[in-house]
Order: sequence, then structure tokens, then C-alpha cells
Amino acid sequence: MQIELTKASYSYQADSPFAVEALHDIDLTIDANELVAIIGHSGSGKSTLAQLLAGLILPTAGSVLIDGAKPSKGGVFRQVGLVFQYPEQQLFAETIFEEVAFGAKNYGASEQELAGIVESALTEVDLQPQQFMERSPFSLSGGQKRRVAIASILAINPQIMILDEPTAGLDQRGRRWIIDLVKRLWQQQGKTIIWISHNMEEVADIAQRIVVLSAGKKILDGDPHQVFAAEQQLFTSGLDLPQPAQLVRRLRQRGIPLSAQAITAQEAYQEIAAWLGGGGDV
Amino acid sequence: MFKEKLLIGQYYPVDSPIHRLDARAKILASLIYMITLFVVNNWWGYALMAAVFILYTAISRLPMTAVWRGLKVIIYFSILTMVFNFFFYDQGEIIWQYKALILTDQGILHGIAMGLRLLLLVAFASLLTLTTTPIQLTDGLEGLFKPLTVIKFPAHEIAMMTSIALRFIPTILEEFDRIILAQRARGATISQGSFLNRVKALIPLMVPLFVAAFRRAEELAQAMEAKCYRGGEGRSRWKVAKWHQRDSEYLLVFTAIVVVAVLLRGI
Repeated sequence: MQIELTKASYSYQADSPFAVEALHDIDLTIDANELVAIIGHSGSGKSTLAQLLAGLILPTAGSVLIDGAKPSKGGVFRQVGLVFQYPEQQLFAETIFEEVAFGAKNYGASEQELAGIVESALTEVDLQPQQFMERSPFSLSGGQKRRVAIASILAINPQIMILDEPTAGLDQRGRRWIIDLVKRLWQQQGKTIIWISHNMEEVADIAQRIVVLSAGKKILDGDPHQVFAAEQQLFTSGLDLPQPAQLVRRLRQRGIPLSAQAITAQEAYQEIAAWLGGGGDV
Repeated sequence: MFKEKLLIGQYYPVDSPIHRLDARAKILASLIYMITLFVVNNWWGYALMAAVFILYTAISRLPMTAVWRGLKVIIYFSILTMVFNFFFYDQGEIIWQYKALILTDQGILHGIAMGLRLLLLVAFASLLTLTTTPIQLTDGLEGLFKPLTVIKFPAHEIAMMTSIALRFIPTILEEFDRIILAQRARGATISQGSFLNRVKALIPLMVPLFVAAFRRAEELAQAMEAKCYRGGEGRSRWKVAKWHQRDSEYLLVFTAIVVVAVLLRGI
């Protein structure tokens, strides 16, 4: 399954003197089983792009094709799951079971199927089904609420998962957990992942491909090493290099002979270890 | 989306004689205008009120787009009011009849008058918020309520609550838009099925909306307490509104309008 944007633009309050163009002329194709990160400064149009890719909003100009079909107004694509920013704010049900079952039920899963679907979705997000199913989602901690919200999207079993800043507001462990989950979904279940973030370290760590947005335009699109090599363009759009890349860059400025390739902590470690003569083994 | 359509009368910053008036005078004038609308009983009266509205808009130097944007929603209501009045007014000569639906000549006139009244009512009210900043509005309300503090009326608290409510309308609408999209992404359908199903479909929208509103309220209350907010007693102001002669003159004009409107009733 593929999502294809051709010269897609989106304006809020279109056709009024107060129109604000959030996205401008975006050409973007995302193929099956890619892991793409979309990064940009706040207000660069990331969330709008996520909603466009999910077919929730329609472009005001240009076109969006999801699996070769045009999204219709008010329609949604079952195969594209969008986890909104702070998804725990959309919880509403009396029990976690109902909450997780909501989407699957809307898409026509039968009562018998639901039990199995909810159970496996909760297991996927590391919540013991027996222990949690009957509890109220409002009794959970912030991190657990987010897992329930993610489980409710997993229960729909979409082919493409779009996650809008999934780690925002979580502690280090919570972040790590989400990253591991997403990698698992991508590797073991063959899902396409679209990861929206402004955390450079995270992105350098997981993405196969990075798309950079600035003021509603796509300015860079390539593999992480290519994108983070375009320092100047990143800086002018208000973005930074990942911390490990910054460290390597500073060391290079001091005349230490490292290659400018490293963007993850692992790579930086290997470069520096090699230079110190210790060999690069973690 | 809701936010785009519903922003009725968000303050529009331009410099005009109306913008410079004291908020108290403007609130009183709006009240007078609204009451007068119910005094009026013939076309001359409505013509007068419409003329006052148009003149007021011109003096306040608001672009028509800003006024129009606020009016868009109310026009639907006003047309609906008009149509209802067309068919449920049973006096006058019957022009057309289908079972219980009756259309009379007086009904048509009555419907148009009712629609126009509603339109002018909301339009004029929106001019108040278009030309007055929320802070001025709050201070103005508090000023007008002040005499009532003698009978223990919580003037400051009411004014503060009003201004907070006004301030959060756009925020909550924005929130509502997001919740609708998020639940749609989970396969929720909002406008299909039986009446009962539609009401049920509101639960996934309303619960998160209220949860968010309570969360915001709590955060705001904490932030206010952290800044040592203690209610109105002994609270001083950065900008103190001063009543000028022009404010009195302005109210005098509105009193004159009432007099003319009453006189026009007799025609």
C-alpha cells in the first residue's frame, strides 16, 4: 500500500480573507513497509501533513492518493491509523475494553472477534488484559493512558500507522518503550510507519528516511545521513543536528580526524573509540 | 470546521471613534438597542434600526468582511426563524395551504420581521465585541455591576467569569475540531443512523471535550492562585477607564433613537 501526494497544498479557512496556507505544493510518495520520519519546527505543518496522509482532511489544491484511491470528504481509510498528538486526551469509555474495542467495532468487528482483538492489542502495548480490561481508562497514569490510546488504534489493525509526536511528554523509559513498539510493528508485522517528531535523536535512531518540512514546504527528503549532512538547511529552518552529531562536529572543529557521518550515539561512539585506538565494540 | 465558522465578533483592532468609547457606554448602548428592537412594530421602525446598524458599522471603520464573517452563522438561524414564522402564523388572508401548513399574507410579513429582528439583534451584539477588547469588556461589566455590590452582588467575580468564558470559546472550539478528527480516525461516524445512534455517537466527542475543559479550568485556577489572585477586593488596574463627555453624548444619541422608535410605533 502506498500513499502518494502530488502538489498537495492545504489552507485553513480557505476561501476567506483569513486563509492561512499550512502546506504548500508537497510531493511525497510513501511506499509499503517504509519507516519515514517527518520533522520540522513547530508550525511547519507536520500535524496537517499527518491528517492529509490519513485522508482525514482533503487538500485544497493538488491530490492525495491512498492505495490509488482519492479520499472522500468525511470518509476514512481503515488501513491508515493515525495516532494523534496526546492521544490519551481522546479517551472516553467506561472501561478499557470498550475504549480499545471502539475503533474495531466501528469498522464492523463482531462481538466474538472483539474479545480476541482487544486482548492482543493490550498485550501488544504491555498491559495485562485480565488486569486492565474492566478498569476505567481514567484511573490510569499518563503513560498507561497513552498505551491504551495506541492499543485502540492497533485494534483496527491498519497497514499504515501514522504517529504524531508519540513520545511527547513522556519520560525516557516511556520514550524508549514507544520506539521499541514501533520498531516491532515495522519489522515483525511489516507495517508502514510514519513518525512525526521534532526530537532529532529519536529520528536519527529509528528512521530509514527523513522528510523535513519548513514553513509548509518540503525542503529535504532522504536517508538520515543525507538529511543531517545538510546542516545549513536544517539550521535555517530552526532545526538542530542530533546531539551525537553535534559532538562529532565540535570535535572535528578542534581538528580531531573523525568523519562527519555519525548521527546516532552508537555511531559517534564507534568513531571516537576508533580514533582513541580502542576499536569500536559496544 | 467549527472554529472557522463560529468566531462571532472577535475583537478587530482598528482606531475609530467607536473603539475609543468607554466600554460601559457601549454595553449600555447595546442593551438599549436590543430592547428598542422589541419596541419597534412596523417597517419604519425596522428601517431605523437597520440604518443605525449600518451607520454604526461605518463609523467603527470595521471592514465588511469582519462583520460578515460573524453574521454568516446567524443568517441561517434568521432564515429558519423566518420560515417557521411563515407557516405557523395563522392570521391574515390564506395564500397557500397544504394540510396543516398555512401561508398567509401577514405571516410572510411577520416572518420577515422576526428574521430581521434576530439578525439585527446578534449583528449589533457582535459589533460590541468587535470594537471592544475582552479586558475593556470585563472592566466595563464590572463597572456597571459595581452599584450592586451594596446588596452583596459579586460584581468582580461575575465579570471575571464572563471574560474567562469569552476567552476560552475559540480554544474549546479548536479542541472540539481536533477531537472530531481523532475519533473519525478511529472509525466514528457522526452523522449517520437513527436518532438514538447519533446521540450515542456524541459520547466519544463530549466526554473528551468535558475532560479537557475541566483540566483547563483546574490549570487556570492554579495559575491564578500562583499569581496570588484573591478576587476583586483591593485589586488595582493598569488602565483605568475614564468616562468622557463623548460617552454621555453617545448614550444621549441612543436615548434619542429610543424616543424616535417609540414615536414611529404610532405611524
